[in-house]
Amino acid sequence: MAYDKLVDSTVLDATFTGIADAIREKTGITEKFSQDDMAEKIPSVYESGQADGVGKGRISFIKDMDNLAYFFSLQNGVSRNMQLLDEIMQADLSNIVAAGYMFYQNNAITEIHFPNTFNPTGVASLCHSCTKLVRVSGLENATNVMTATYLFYGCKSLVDAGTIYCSPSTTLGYAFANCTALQEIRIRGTIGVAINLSYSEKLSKTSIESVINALSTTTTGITLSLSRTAVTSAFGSTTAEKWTNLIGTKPNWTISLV
Amino acid sequence: MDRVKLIASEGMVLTNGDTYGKEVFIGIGDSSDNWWEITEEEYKKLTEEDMNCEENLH
Repeated sequence: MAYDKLVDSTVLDATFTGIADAIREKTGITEKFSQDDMAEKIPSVYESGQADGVGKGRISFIKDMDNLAYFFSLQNGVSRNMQLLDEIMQADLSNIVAAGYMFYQNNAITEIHFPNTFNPTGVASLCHSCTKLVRVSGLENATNVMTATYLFYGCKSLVDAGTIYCSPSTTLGYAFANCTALQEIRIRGTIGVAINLSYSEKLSKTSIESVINALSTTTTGITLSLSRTAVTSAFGSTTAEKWTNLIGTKPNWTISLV
Repeated sequence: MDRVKLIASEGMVLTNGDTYGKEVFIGIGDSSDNWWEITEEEYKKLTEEDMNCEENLH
């Protein structure tokens, strides 16, 4: 007899049994189930983990969080992937030091309103690829932030980013890449590094003014990139006196219009 | 203060290797010598590659 392929399922069976045992241990489920049921059971592992741990922290600033996929441990700022329960009220995020990836690739959340206590040093990829995120507020009080790279990367529905605090050394690489719907953003503080808002063709005049007014007056050789369409819509043309006067206040910056 | 303003030729995009622009207002510490033209096709390819590369970092 000839065989194309010999399959020994012993190892595979043991693997699935191990996974099932782990699910039972974490969730308290006692029944046996097939590998086809495992995907359905695994979320309850996260829920049980949250009940034991993260449930001690609270985050009331989240709306529409049905499919929230990832967030940080609220006790110590250590990154943990957890599935959020339906509602957790009364946030206290003062213990979070590193908030990177907090809402990474969440494709359900539409609004995030950060409480005053939210003041980590890092918000890199905080809302990376949150494709349905429309409105954010509360980042103006996050005065400790030093790293904001990829902050709103790929947030193609984001219309209003609220006010964001920047120190001269806050890194902003790719923070607004592919934010094609962005209209409103205000900057508190000073921008001292390259910033690219060229994807945002609907950026309002007030937003453009806020960004340019926040540019450092001392750094040199740094570039601000804006959408040429946005500037033309806001000021009439790129030769308009109001526009040239505005960028004239920051002669130390190269301004590129894409 | 008058700025040097660069305008890309038809079908071209200006770049300094990091950023791109159809119009570039040169600031203090920068120079028009740091900017050159690439075609729009090159621009699209470079920015797509750039974005894909950055996405893969995560």
